[in-house]
Amino acid sequence: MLMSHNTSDQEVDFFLSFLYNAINGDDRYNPTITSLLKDAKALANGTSVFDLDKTSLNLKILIDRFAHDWLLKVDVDRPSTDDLRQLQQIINDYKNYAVA
Amino acid sequence: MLPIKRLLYLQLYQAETLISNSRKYNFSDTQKDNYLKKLEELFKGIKDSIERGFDDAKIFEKKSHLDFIFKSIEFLKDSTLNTIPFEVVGCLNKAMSDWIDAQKFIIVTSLQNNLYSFSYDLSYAMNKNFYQSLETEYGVVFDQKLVQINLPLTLSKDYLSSVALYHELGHFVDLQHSITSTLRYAIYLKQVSVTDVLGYMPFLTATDIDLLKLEYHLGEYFCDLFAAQYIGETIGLFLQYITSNSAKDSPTHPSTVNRIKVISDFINGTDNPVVNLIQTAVEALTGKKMEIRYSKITSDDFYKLIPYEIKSDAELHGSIMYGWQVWLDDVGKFNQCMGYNVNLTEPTIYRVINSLVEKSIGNYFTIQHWAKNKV
Repeated sequence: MLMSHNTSDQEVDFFLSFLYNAINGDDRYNPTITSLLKDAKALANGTSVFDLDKTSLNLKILIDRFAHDWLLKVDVDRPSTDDLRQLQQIINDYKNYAVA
Repeated sequence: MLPIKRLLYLQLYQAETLISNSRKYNFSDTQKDNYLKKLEELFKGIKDSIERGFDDAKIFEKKSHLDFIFKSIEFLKDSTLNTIPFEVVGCLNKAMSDWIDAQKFIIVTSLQNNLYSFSYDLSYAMNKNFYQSLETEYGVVFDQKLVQINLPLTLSKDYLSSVALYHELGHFVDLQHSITSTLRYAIYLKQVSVTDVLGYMPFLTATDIDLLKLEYHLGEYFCDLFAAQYIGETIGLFLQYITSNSAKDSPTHPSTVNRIKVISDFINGTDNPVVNLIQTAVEALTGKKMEIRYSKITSDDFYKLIPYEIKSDAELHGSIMYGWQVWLDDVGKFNQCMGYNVNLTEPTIYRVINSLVEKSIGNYFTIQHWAKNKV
């Protein structure tokens, strides 16, 4: 009753499936991944959250919170397969931590 | 073949049966027919794509896509010509249009066997990644998305209780504009000062802020204010009754006492730090202002057993408040003003008021429809 729902988990799961497809050579997901990571990196670099494109905002915030250092060191315009594997691992660790 | 793959096939054939059965649904508009056709197209895409060599990750992806078909049909099933509460949905659609492009959404309902089970199912409301996945995998684009409202079966035609749905619509609008999530993050990053709202959210003084609680509480306050724009303090009345006017907060909800105070201050134009905090975020993110969007109706029509002739969208929302106002009034006054030599009982008066709200709203939409078709 009069409850809100948290959709973040579902967004994370789908982002993970995008990463999985990209790591396995399906480049159709690259533009979406890159676009999300660019905004997450902007957040990590101090852009005001009010100035950011709000699409998948929760996901961008989560990536910044849990992969902040990764974002700062990676070229998000052209992440390598290894970079994406690292991000996949970081997010999976976060998920495992969250349900523990 | 691993059992999990057999389960994917099981779900696939269950979905096939469901799609086949859904062809007999009779909707009141072509939008839902078109949506159903899209689901069929999606199902075909999923079926054609499933390969026996799939690993667990791919199975998860296909399962999620099939889940979407199940969920969508569940809502469409309860939104047919005879089941959907047309008048309530019409009011919500008008309110939604003030904040987002309503053409991109179809309001559908799922009737629950649970009293007070008013809620919005937001599973697919804003998940751009999910729709991106459908487009990439099968080339299926959903131009319109479902806004999924859960409401109790027993109260689906009760217009007084429908005030709760304005609050629930707030959650949908919040998600579309990322109001709560942005504000939460701005507070977390100390981009926004919260000194003034500590009286309402004392947990913000903790070194390690409970971000989930913050988001939930901001969300509830926003939705209360969102609803109050359209149906005034009636949202507070209903809330007080169903929560026993609780003075305690919970991880997901602020105390009812605080919620009522925020609603009341907003309606009366009294300065309130929570209203100010949320108003600032709403203006920054939507370019719109939260304001009173209803007209109070002063009329004897309901007492004389005739529907009220609604003249504007503001009065449309006001008609629900008018129903509340008459119900809260003295029963004796109702019988006295009616002008007929009968004494209606309270249950009858309830049914009469409910019916008059329904007729008033229904007439407004019918007249609008005629006017549109005349042009």
